[in-house]
Amino acid sequence: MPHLDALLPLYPDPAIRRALLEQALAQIHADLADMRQAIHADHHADARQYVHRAKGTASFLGGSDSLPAFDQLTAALKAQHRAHIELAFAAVEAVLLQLAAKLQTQLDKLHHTAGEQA
Amino acid sequence: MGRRYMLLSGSSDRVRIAILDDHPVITLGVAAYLRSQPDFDIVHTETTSEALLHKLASQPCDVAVVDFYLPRQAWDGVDFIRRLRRRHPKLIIITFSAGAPAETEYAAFRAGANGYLPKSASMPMLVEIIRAACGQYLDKFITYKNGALRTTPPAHPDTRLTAAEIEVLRQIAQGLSVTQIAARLLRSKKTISTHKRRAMKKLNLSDDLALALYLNEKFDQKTGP
Repeated sequence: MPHLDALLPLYPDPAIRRALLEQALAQIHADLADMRQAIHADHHADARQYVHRAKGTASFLGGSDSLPAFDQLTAALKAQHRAHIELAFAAVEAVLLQLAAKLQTQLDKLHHTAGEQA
Repeated sequence: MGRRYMLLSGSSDRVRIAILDDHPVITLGVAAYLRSQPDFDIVHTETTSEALLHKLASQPCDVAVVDFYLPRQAWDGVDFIRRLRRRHPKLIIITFSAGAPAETEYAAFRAGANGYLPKSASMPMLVEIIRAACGQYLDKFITYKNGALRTTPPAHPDTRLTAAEIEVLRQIAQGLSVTQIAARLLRSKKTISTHKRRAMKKLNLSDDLALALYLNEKFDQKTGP
Protein backbone atom coordinates (compact mmCIF):
# COMPACT_ATOMS: atom_id res chain seq x y z
CA MET A 1 0.00 0.00 0.00
CA PRO A 2 1.21 3.53 -0.66
CA HIS A 3 2.48 5.86 2.03
CA LEU A 4 0.13 8.21 3.82
CA ASP A 5 0.79 11.14 1.47
CA ALA A 6 -0.17 9.04 -1.52
CA LEU A 7 -3.05 7.29 0.21
CA LEU A 8 -4.97 10.23 1.64
CA PRO A 9 -5.74 11.90 -1.73
CA LEU A 10 -7.76 8.77 -2.51
CA TYR A 11 -10.21 10.02 0.14
CA PRO A 12 -11.14 13.53 -0.96
CA ASP A 13 -14.25 13.67 1.24
CA PRO A 14 -13.08 15.29 4.52
CA ALA A 15 -15.59 13.32 6.61
CA ILE A 16 -14.37 9.98 5.26
CA ARG A 17 -10.74 11.03 5.57
CA ARG A 18 -11.32 12.13 9.15
CA ALA A 19 -13.07 8.83 9.99
CA LEU A 20 -10.17 6.85 8.55
CA LEU A 21 -7.55 8.91 10.40
CA GLU A 22 -9.45 8.76 13.69
CA GLN A 23 -10.01 5.02 13.50
CA ALA A 24 -6.38 4.43 12.59
CA LEU A 25 -5.19 6.56 15.50
CA ALA A 26 -7.49 4.79 17.94
CA GLN A 27 -6.43 1.39 16.58
CA ILE A 28 -2.73 2.17 16.89
CA HIS A 29 -3.08 3.24 20.52
CA ALA A 30 -5.30 0.25 21.33
CA ASP A 31 -2.90 -2.21 19.66
CA LEU A 32 0.09 -0.68 21.43
CA ALA A 33 -1.64 -0.93 24.81
CA ASP A 34 -2.76 -4.53 24.15
CA MET A 35 0.70 -5.49 22.92
CA ARG A 36 2.41 -3.96 25.92
CA GLN A 37 0.04 -5.71 28.32
CA ALA A 38 0.34 -9.10 26.62
CA ILE A 39 4.14 -8.90 26.54
CA HIS A 40 4.36 -7.95 30.21
CA ALA A 41 2.06 -10.86 31.08
CA ASP A 42 4.12 -13.24 28.89
CA HIS A 43 1.04 -13.97 26.77
CA HIS A 44 3.08 -14.34 23.62
CA ALA A 45 0.38 -15.83 21.39
CA ASP A 46 -1.93 -12.91 22.19
CA ALA A 47 0.92 -10.48 21.64
CA ARG A 48 1.56 -11.94 18.18
CA GLN A 49 -2.06 -11.37 17.29
CA TYR A 50 -1.79 -7.70 18.28
CA VAL A 51 1.47 -7.37 16.34
CA HIS A 52 -0.27 -8.82 13.28
CA ARG A 53 -3.07 -6.28 13.63
CA ALA A 54 -0.72 -3.34 14.14
CA LYS A 55 1.35 -4.46 11.16
CA GLY A 56 -1.77 -4.31 9.01
CA THR A 57 -2.45 -0.73 10.03
CA ALA A 58 1.17 0.25 9.50
CA SER A 59 1.37 -1.39 6.08
CA PHE A 60 -1.85 0.25 4.92
CA LEU A 61 -0.96 3.76 6.07
CA GLY A 62 2.78 3.82 6.36
CA GLY A 63 4.03 1.71 3.49
CA SER A 64 6.35 -1.28 3.68
CA ASP A 65 9.54 0.32 5.00
CA SER A 66 8.68 -0.21 8.64
CA LEU A 67 7.37 -3.75 8.34
CA PRO A 68 10.62 -5.62 9.20
CA ALA A 69 10.29 -4.26 12.76
CA PHE A 70 6.99 -6.13 13.12
CA ASP A 71 8.46 -9.32 11.67
CA GLN A 72 11.35 -9.13 14.14
CA LEU A 73 8.96 -8.76 17.06
CA THR A 74 6.89 -11.70 15.80
CA ALA A 75 10.04 -13.82 15.53
CA ALA A 76 11.15 -12.81 19.04
CA LEU A 77 7.72 -13.67 20.44
CA LYS A 78 7.81 -17.04 18.71
CA ALA A 79 11.23 -17.73 20.16
CA GLN A 80 10.04 -16.42 23.55
CA HIS A 81 13.31 -14.60 24.02
CA ARG A 82 12.63 -11.90 26.58
CA ALA A 83 15.56 -9.58 25.75
CA HIS A 84 14.86 -9.75 22.03
CA ILE A 85 11.16 -9.17 22.65
CA GLU A 86 11.86 -6.00 24.61
CA LEU A 87 14.21 -4.64 21.96
CA ALA A 88 11.89 -5.52 19.10
CA PHE A 89 8.87 -4.08 20.92
CA ALA A 90 10.73 -0.79 21.42
CA ALA A 91 11.33 -0.62 17.66
CA VAL A 92 7.68 -1.38 16.86
CA GLU A 93 6.53 1.14 19.44
CA ALA A 94 8.72 3.82 17.83
CA VAL A 95 7.31 3.01 14.38
CA LEU A 96 3.72 3.18 15.58
CA LEU A 97 4.19 6.37 17.57
CA GLN A 98 5.81 8.00 14.56
CA LEU A 99 2.89 6.92 12.39
CA ALA A 100 0.43 8.16 15.02
CA ALA A 101 2.14 11.56 15.00
CA LYS A 102 1.78 11.75 11.20
CA LEU A 103 -1.89 10.84 11.45
CA GLN A 104 -2.43 13.46 14.14
CA THR A 105 -0.78 16.09 11.92
CA GLN A 106 -3.16 15.21 9.09
CA LEU A 107 -6.13 15.34 11.46
CA ASP A 108 -5.03 18.76 12.73
CA LYS A 109 -4.80 19.97 9.13
CA LEU A 110 -8.35 18.77 8.51
CA HIS A 111 -9.64 20.53 11.62
CA HIS A 112 -7.76 23.68 10.65
CA THR A 113 -9.24 23.65 7.14
CA ALA A 114 -12.73 23.01 8.53
CA GLY A 115 -12.27 25.91 10.99
CA GLU A 116 -11.23 28.28 8.21
CA GLN A 117 -14.24 27.33 6.12
CA ALA A 118 -16.70 27.76 9.01
CA MET B 1 -15.75 -1.99 -21.02
CA GLY B 2 -17.87 -5.12 -21.00
CA ARG B 3 -20.76 -5.29 -18.57
CA ARG B 4 -21.05 -9.02 -18.18
CA TYR B 5 -21.40 -8.55 -14.46
CA MET B 6 -24.87 -7.26 -15.15
CA LEU B 7 -25.75 -10.93 -15.36
CA LEU B 8 -24.44 -11.49 -11.87
CA SER B 9 -26.61 -8.89 -10.26
CA GLY B 10 -29.81 -9.69 -12.05
CA SER B 11 -31.32 -6.62 -13.63
CA SER B 12 -28.99 -4.20 -11.86
CA ASP B 13 -25.75 -2.96 -13.34
CA ARG B 14 -24.34 -2.34 -9.90
CA VAL B 15 -21.72 -4.58 -8.31
CA ARG B 16 -22.48 -5.75 -4.79
CA ILE B 17 -19.26 -6.17 -2.83
CA ALA B 18 -18.33 -7.81 0.46
CA ILE B 19 -15.01 -7.04 2.16
CA LEU B 20 -13.25 -9.20 4.72
CA ASP B 21 -10.05 -8.18 6.48
CA ASP B 22 -9.13 -8.73 10.10
CA HIS B 23 -7.56 -5.26 10.20
CA PRO B 24 -10.38 -2.77 10.89
CA VAL B 25 -8.42 0.13 9.40
CA ILE B 26 -7.87 -1.73 6.13
CA THR B 27 -11.52 -2.78 6.01
CA LEU B 28 -12.59 0.83 6.49
CA GLY B 29 -10.03 2.18 4.02
CA VAL B 30 -10.85 -0.34 1.29
CA ALA B 31 -14.60 0.08 1.77
CA ALA B 32 -14.40 3.87 1.69
CA TYR B 33 -12.37 3.82 -1.49
CA LEU B 34 -14.52 1.25 -3.30
CA ARG B 35 -17.66 3.10 -2.22
CA SER B 36 -16.45 6.09 -4.23
CA GLN B 37 -16.90 4.05 -7.41
CA PRO B 38 -20.27 5.04 -8.91
CA ASP B 39 -21.36 1.48 -9.73
CA PHE B 40 -20.11 -0.31 -6.60
CA ASP B 41 -22.29 -1.06 -3.59
CA ILE B 42 -20.39 -2.07 -0.47
CA VAL B 43 -22.81 -4.44 1.19
CA HIS B 44 -20.69 -6.11 3.88
CA THR B 45 -17.51 -5.02 5.67
CA GLU B 46 -16.45 -7.70 8.12
CA THR B 47 -13.37 -8.48 10.18
CA THR B 48 -14.08 -12.21 10.72
CA SER B 49 -14.68 -15.01 8.24
CA GLU B 50 -17.50 -16.37 10.36
CA ALA B 51 -19.38 -13.04 10.28
CA LEU B 52 -18.94 -12.72 6.53
CA LEU B 53 -20.37 -16.19 5.85
CA HIS B 54 -23.30 -15.37 8.11
CA LYS B 55 -23.99 -12.05 6.38
CA LEU B 56 -23.66 -13.48 2.88
CA ALA B 57 -26.23 -16.13 3.71
CA SER B 58 -28.88 -13.47 4.23
CA GLN B 59 -27.62 -10.91 1.72
CA PRO B 60 -25.58 -12.33 -1.17
CA CYS B 61 -23.02 -10.32 -3.14
CA ASP B 62 -21.43 -10.45 -6.57
CA VAL B 63 -17.85 -10.02 -5.35
CA ALA B 64 -16.00 -10.81 -2.13
CA VAL B 65 -12.62 -9.21 -1.47
CA VAL B 66 -11.09 -11.43 1.18
CA ASP B 67 -7.89 -11.38 3.18
CA PHE B 68 -6.07 -14.74 3.14
CA TYR B 69 -4.35 -14.88 6.53
CA LEU B 70 -6.82 -14.55 9.38
CA PRO B 71 -4.96 -15.95 12.36
CA ARG B 72 -6.97 -17.34 15.25
CA GLN B 73 -10.22 -17.24 13.34
CA ALA B 74 -12.58 -20.14 12.69
CA TRP B 75 -11.55 -20.31 9.04
CA ASP B 76 -8.98 -18.68 6.81
CA GLY B 77 -6.90 -19.30 3.72
CA VAL B 78 -7.75 -22.21 1.47
CA ASP B 79 -10.31 -23.55 3.89
CA PHE B 80 -12.30 -20.33 3.92
CA ILE B 81 -12.17 -19.81 0.14
CA ARG B 82 -13.45 -23.37 -0.38
CA ARG B 83 -16.31 -22.77 2.03
CA LEU B 84 -17.20 -19.54 0.26
CA ARG B 85 -17.06 -21.26 -3.11
CA ARG B 86 -19.25 -24.16 -1.94
CA ARG B 87 -21.91 -21.90 -0.46
CA HIS B 88 -21.79 -19.24 -3.19
CA PRO B 89 -20.78 -20.92 -6.47
CA LYS B 90 -21.22 -17.75 -8.55
CA LEU B 91 -19.49 -15.39 -6.14
CA ILE B 92 -16.37 -13.72 -7.55
CA ILE B 93 -13.68 -14.15 -4.92
CA ILE B 94 -10.68 -11.83 -4.98
CA THR B 95 -7.93 -12.69 -2.54
CA PHE B 96 -6.31 -9.55 -1.16
CA SER B 97 -3.26 -10.56 0.79
CA ALA B 98 0.10 -9.49 2.09
CA GLY B 99 1.30 -13.08 2.11
CA ALA B 100 4.10 -14.26 -0.17
CA PRO B 101 2.50 -14.38 -3.64
CA ALA B 102 4.28 -17.64 -4.53
CA GLU B 103 2.38 -19.57 -1.87
CA THR B 104 -0.79 -17.53 -1.40
CA GLU B 105 -1.60 -16.97 -5.04
CA TYR B 106 -1.40 -20.63 -5.97
CA ALA B 107 -3.30 -21.72 -2.87
CA ALA B 108 -6.07 -19.20 -3.61
CA PHE B 109 -6.20 -20.36 -7.23
CA ARG B 110 -6.53 -24.01 -6.24
CA ALA B 111 -9.16 -23.22 -3.64
CA GLY B 112 -11.40 -21.60 -6.23
CA ALA B 113 -10.69 -17.88 -6.02
CA ASN B 114 -11.07 -15.77 -9.17
CA GLY B 115 -8.13 -13.51 -8.57
CA TYR B 116 -5.26 -12.54 -6.35
CA LEU B 117 -4.05 -9.04 -5.59
CA PRO B 118 -1.15 -8.33 -3.23
CA LYS B 119 -1.76 -5.61 -0.67
CA SER B 120 1.31 -3.85 -2.03
CA ALA B 121 -0.73 -3.00 -5.14
CA SER B 122 -2.51 0.34 -5.34
CA MET B 123 -6.17 0.82 -4.45
CA PRO B 124 -7.09 1.76 -8.04
CA MET B 125 -5.68 -1.64 -9.02
CA LEU B 126 -8.19 -3.26 -6.65
CA VAL B 127 -10.98 -1.54 -8.56
CA GLU B 128 -9.42 -2.71 -11.81
CA ILE B 129 -9.22 -6.35 -10.75
CA ILE B 130 -12.83 -6.32 -9.55
CA ARG B 131 -13.97 -4.89 -12.88
CA ALA B 132 -11.84 -7.35 -14.83
CA ALA B 133 -13.11 -10.31 -12.81
CA CYS B 134 -16.72 -9.21 -13.39
CA GLY B 135 -16.17 -8.41 -17.03
CA GLN B 136 -13.73 -9.50 -19.65
CA TYR B 137 -11.94 -12.09 -17.49
CA LEU B 138 -15.01 -13.58 -15.86
CA ASP B 139 -13.84 -17.16 -16.43
CA LYS B 140 -10.13 -16.67 -15.77
CA PHE B 141 -7.93 -16.44 -12.71
CA ILE B 142 -6.50 -12.92 -12.56
CA THR B 143 -3.14 -12.16 -11.02
CA TYR B 144 -1.02 -9.06 -10.65
CA LYS B 145 2.55 -8.93 -11.91
CA ASN B 146 4.84 -5.97 -12.51
CA GLY B 147 2.12 -3.39 -12.10
CA ALA B 148 -0.45 -5.01 -14.42
CA LEU B 149 -3.20 -7.60 -14.32
CA ARG B 150 -2.58 -10.93 -16.04
CA THR B 151 -4.53 -14.10 -16.62
CA THR B 152 -1.71 -16.64 -16.54
CA PRO B 153 -2.57 -19.35 -13.99
CA PRO B 154 -0.06 -19.27 -11.12
CA ALA B 155 2.63 -21.91 -11.03
CA HIS B 156 2.86 -24.46 -8.23
CA PRO B 157 5.27 -22.96 -5.66
CA ASP B 158 6.78 -26.29 -4.67
CA THR B 159 6.20 -29.18 -7.02
CA ARG B 160 7.15 -31.63 -4.29
CA LEU B 161 4.05 -30.86 -2.21
CA THR B 162 0.34 -31.15 -2.92
CA ALA B 163 -1.97 -28.22 -2.20
CA ALA B 164 -3.38 -30.10 0.80
CA GLU B 165 0.10 -30.67 2.22
CA ILE B 166 0.99 -26.98 1.80
CA GLU B 167 -2.21 -25.97 3.57
CA VAL B 168 -1.52 -28.32 6.49
CA LEU B 169 2.03 -26.94 6.81
CA ARG B 170 0.72 -23.37 6.66
CA GLN B 171 -1.66 -24.09 9.52
CA ILE B 172 1.09 -25.80 11.54
CA ALA B 173 3.17 -22.65 10.99
CA GLN B 174 0.34 -20.66 12.57
CA GLY B 175 0.81 -22.74 15.70
CA LEU B 176 -2.15 -25.09 15.30
CA SER B 177 -1.99 -28.70 16.43
CA VAL B 178 -2.98 -31.68 14.25
CA THR B 179 -6.23 -31.92 16.23
CA GLN B 180 -7.02 -28.24 15.70
CA ILE B 181 -6.22 -28.43 11.97
CA ALA B 182 -8.42 -31.50 11.60
CA ALA B 183 -11.31 -29.63 13.23
CA ARG B 184 -10.73 -26.58 11.04
CA LEU B 185 -10.46 -28.45 7.76
CA LEU B 186 -13.18 -30.97 8.62
CA ARG B 187 -10.78 -33.85 8.13
CA SER B 188 -9.78 -36.69 10.44
CA LYS B 189 -6.68 -36.37 12.58
CA LYS B 190 -5.31 -39.36 10.68
CA THR B 191 -5.66 -37.54 7.34
CA ILE B 192 -3.93 -34.43 8.68
CA SER B 193 -1.15 -36.53 10.20
CA THR B 194 -0.72 -38.31 6.88
CA HIS B 195 -0.41 -34.99 5.00
CA LYS B 196 2.12 -33.80 7.56
CA ARG B 197 4.14 -37.03 7.45
CA ARG B 198 4.18 -37.14 3.63
CA ALA B 199 5.19 -33.48 3.41
CA MET B 200 8.04 -34.07 5.87
CA LYS B 201 9.19 -37.10 3.88
CA LYS B 202 9.15 -35.17 0.59
CA LEU B 203 11.06 -32.30 2.19
CA ASN B 204 13.55 -34.65 3.85
CA LEU B 205 12.64 -33.38 7.31
CA SER B 206 13.45 -36.02 9.86
CA ASP B 207 11.72 -34.66 12.95
CA ASP B 208 9.52 -31.89 14.37
CA LEU B 209 12.53 -29.64 15.03
CA ALA B 210 13.55 -29.81 11.35
CA LEU B 211 9.92 -29.13 10.43
CA ALA B 212 9.82 -26.11 12.74
CA LEU B 213 12.96 -24.70 11.13
CA TYR B 214 11.52 -25.27 7.65
CA LEU B 215 8.23 -23.59 8.57
CA ASN B 216 10.05 -20.69 10.12
CA GLU B 217 12.00 -20.19 6.92
CA LYS B 218 9.05 -20.74 4.61
CA PHE B 219 6.17 -19.03 6.36
CA ASP B 220 7.43 -16.92 9.25
CA GLN B 221 8.07 -13.62 7.49
CA LYS B 222 5.32 -14.07 4.99
CA THR B 223 2.12 -14.38 6.91
CA GLY B 224 1.69 -10.78 7.73
CA PRO B 225 -1.13 -8.54 7.49
